[in-house]
Amino acid sequence: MCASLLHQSVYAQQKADTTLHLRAQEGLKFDLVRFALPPGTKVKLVFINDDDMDHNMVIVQPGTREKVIQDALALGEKGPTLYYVPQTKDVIWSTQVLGPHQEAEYYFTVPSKAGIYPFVCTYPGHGMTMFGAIYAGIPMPPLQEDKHIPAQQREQASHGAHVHHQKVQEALHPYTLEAPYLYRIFMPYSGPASIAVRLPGEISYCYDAELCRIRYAWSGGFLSNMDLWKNKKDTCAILEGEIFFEDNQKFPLEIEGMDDIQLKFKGYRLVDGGYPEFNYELNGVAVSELTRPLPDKRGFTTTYRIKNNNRPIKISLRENLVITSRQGKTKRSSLIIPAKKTREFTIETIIKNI
Amino acid sequence: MLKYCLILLPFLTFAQSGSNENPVKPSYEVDNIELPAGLSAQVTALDFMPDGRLVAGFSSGEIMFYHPDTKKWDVFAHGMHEPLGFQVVNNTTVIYIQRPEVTRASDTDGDGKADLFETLTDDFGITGNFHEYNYGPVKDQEGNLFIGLNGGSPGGWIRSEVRGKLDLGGYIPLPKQMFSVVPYRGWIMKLTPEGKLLPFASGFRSPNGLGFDNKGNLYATDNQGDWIGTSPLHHVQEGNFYGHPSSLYWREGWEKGPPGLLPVHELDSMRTKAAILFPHGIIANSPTQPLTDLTEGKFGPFAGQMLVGEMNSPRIVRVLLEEVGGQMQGACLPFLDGHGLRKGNNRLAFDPDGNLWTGQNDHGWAGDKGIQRIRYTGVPPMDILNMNLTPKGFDLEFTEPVDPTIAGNPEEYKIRSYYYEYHSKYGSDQFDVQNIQVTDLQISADGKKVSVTLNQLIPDRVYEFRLENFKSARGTLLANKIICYTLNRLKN
Repeated sequence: MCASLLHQSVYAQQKADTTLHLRAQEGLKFDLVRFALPPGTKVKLVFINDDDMDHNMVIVQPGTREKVIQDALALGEKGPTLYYVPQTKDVIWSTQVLGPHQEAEYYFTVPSKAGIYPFVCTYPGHGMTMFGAIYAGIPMPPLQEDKHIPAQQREQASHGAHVHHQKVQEALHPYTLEAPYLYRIFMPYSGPASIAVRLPGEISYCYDAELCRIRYAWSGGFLSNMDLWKNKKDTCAILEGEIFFEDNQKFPLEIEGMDDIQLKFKGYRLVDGGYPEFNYELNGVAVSELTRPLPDKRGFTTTYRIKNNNRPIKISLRENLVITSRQGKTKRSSLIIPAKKTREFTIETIIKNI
Repeated sequence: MLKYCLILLPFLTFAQSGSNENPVKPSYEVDNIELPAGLSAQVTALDFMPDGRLVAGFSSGEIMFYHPDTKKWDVFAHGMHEPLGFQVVNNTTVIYIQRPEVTRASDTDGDGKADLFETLTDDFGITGNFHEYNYGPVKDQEGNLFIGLNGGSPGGWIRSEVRGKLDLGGYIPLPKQMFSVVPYRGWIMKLTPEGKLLPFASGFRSPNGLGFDNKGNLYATDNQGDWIGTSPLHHVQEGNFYGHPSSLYWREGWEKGPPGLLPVHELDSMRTKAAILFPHGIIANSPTQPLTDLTEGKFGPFAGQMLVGEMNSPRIVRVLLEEVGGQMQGACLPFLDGHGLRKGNNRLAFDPDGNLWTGQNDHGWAGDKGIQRIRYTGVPPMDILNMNLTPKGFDLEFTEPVDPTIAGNPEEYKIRSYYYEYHSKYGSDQFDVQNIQVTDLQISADGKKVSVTLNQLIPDRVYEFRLENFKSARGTLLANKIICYTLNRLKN
């Protein structure tokens, strides 16, 4: 086991996709109780023990957390030398035991099969409250309904949603942020020039400033681990919510007759109290794009303003989305905005089955 | 190693404060600037607006104004991705660099906050590696902006999505080698007024500081590490290569594979040597922004000279440049040590009254947080004003007449000469350390200039002078007792 761990860390040292900071805290708990990571993600884990007790972190097969805790207890006197990790196929990966106020770096790879993988401290007596879940390619339910996190955190979430998020914000800036606002920051599942936009109504989206488009949107909290600015390490923000919209297909907007799409990001203007209206050039034509949330997290409205354009605009329809516009007409797999309406038009995007 | 420690020990004591025999008010005093609660004051950028407000950028994305009169802080913009340098346009517009781009932020509706953010250029690669910091912009007289692009660190890797053409052809999987796998990491770039971003000079590792001298020459500091024996200050000229090989991969027409695998002598023959070497552990370990004193005397006697921040010690460094044989070279010495100054001096700016402000940062390295102001008290310092190469030695010019009983004694000059190796290894020891003898001394009639003749003067070496006991004719101790001259070319 040691040998394989060593091999893994040497390999991963060069290649971690993301860095995760996880703290063991007083009261037998981890500071983060869940995170979304795509299957196969190579993770650098900075495991920090803030507590006065020993702790480890063990990732186990879906549904086996309680069994692994029992197996760890059954190790008896062999426990300490095995770091309280049972040698069973239920265990996917584990850290060593960290003593009080120790810190260590590890590398692991999220299993390639989508699933909800529990992580737990298997030190005797800790596992019943000290655990959480890695959501690998599976959407997260709202925090207050999540059966894969400890009851205490679930209850906290339902009494005062996103307490954790608020606390992080206050500690980081000399002002309180009220949505809408944005951060330019390294984001998961997106290009390195990304913009995280927080909208009112607990909706956020990730805008890729290279590709001039929304890559995905999520509901729930905003971002955690934003203290990544303090470290000389590769870092990436972590979503504190559930992705409900993703679009990685071809660029949604097309000027009729120009299907070789060329984009150039030009910046943004903050309007109506902080909504970013993004500016870019689409095949040399200046486009402004402003996205606002629809009520009930059903989707968004996006208002486009296009200057000096005399051609119709084609918007590709998507299977999982209902895309409509009062200024346009649906024709086969596209929504067509007539040339004379392209100075300003609004489309509504509703996500099916949400 | 022990030998070095013993030798270096005296330099690490801060001896500028008045001596017992001569208690005088210091020439420079340091004030702490109060910061708003909740701000993690890791300063990334610092400058002054034409109306006298300080504008400061921070690692966590804030760009804020400080009114020195009311001591009030206001937010100009937030959510920026490590804004590492400003170019103030006017009272409502600031250009800055951040991770993804050069941005022009303007307050167009007059509420004091930026509402329009225009991307001036994003025409360079980013891998997401933590060390790919971007520096600048600084502006030349023709209106070109210059930015510096840090290489990627072997302490991290690249993201699954990168911007720019990913090409691992120049990458060498060796530990401790900064890499450049997207264009143009490790380059200084020129952004023309028309918005075109052009590669300008290569060979940089971590150029955390760009600036001009008082003649309009562009300079950049770099940080000791692989291929950089000790931290340098480079006179940056178009087309030149400054020593760190990774960036060469993006040179037009490059067909030599991984540049870091070329023979060292070949790389050495291509490179332009540093104008100034900051001896590691003696002058600076991590120099930052160069800033020329254009206060015309408001900040004391060093008008026209260049100051450079230092991260690892509570110090600001002073640089004395001269042109010899068509190339810039010169000396560096401490400007201010201690006196309440913190470490981490990452960004410098002069206010309209001629006070020097310094913004501090640590970001996981040695350093500190916060903003301080350095005021000239009007008490002239006894210090080295200038150091110039002569055919046989150096002229040392002082701000006050020297005490001739000390300055006239050759034994009072402790001079060493050494060189730093150009190699792939992280940093360099001092090689061929020699003790140098003074063979002749001339003191000028006004007592302010000493002409020193040495028994040896060899190019490509550092000449380090220690003047421990020097004082003025009136008895004021020399404020800074060590000065290091980077001798690239001899004077005929």
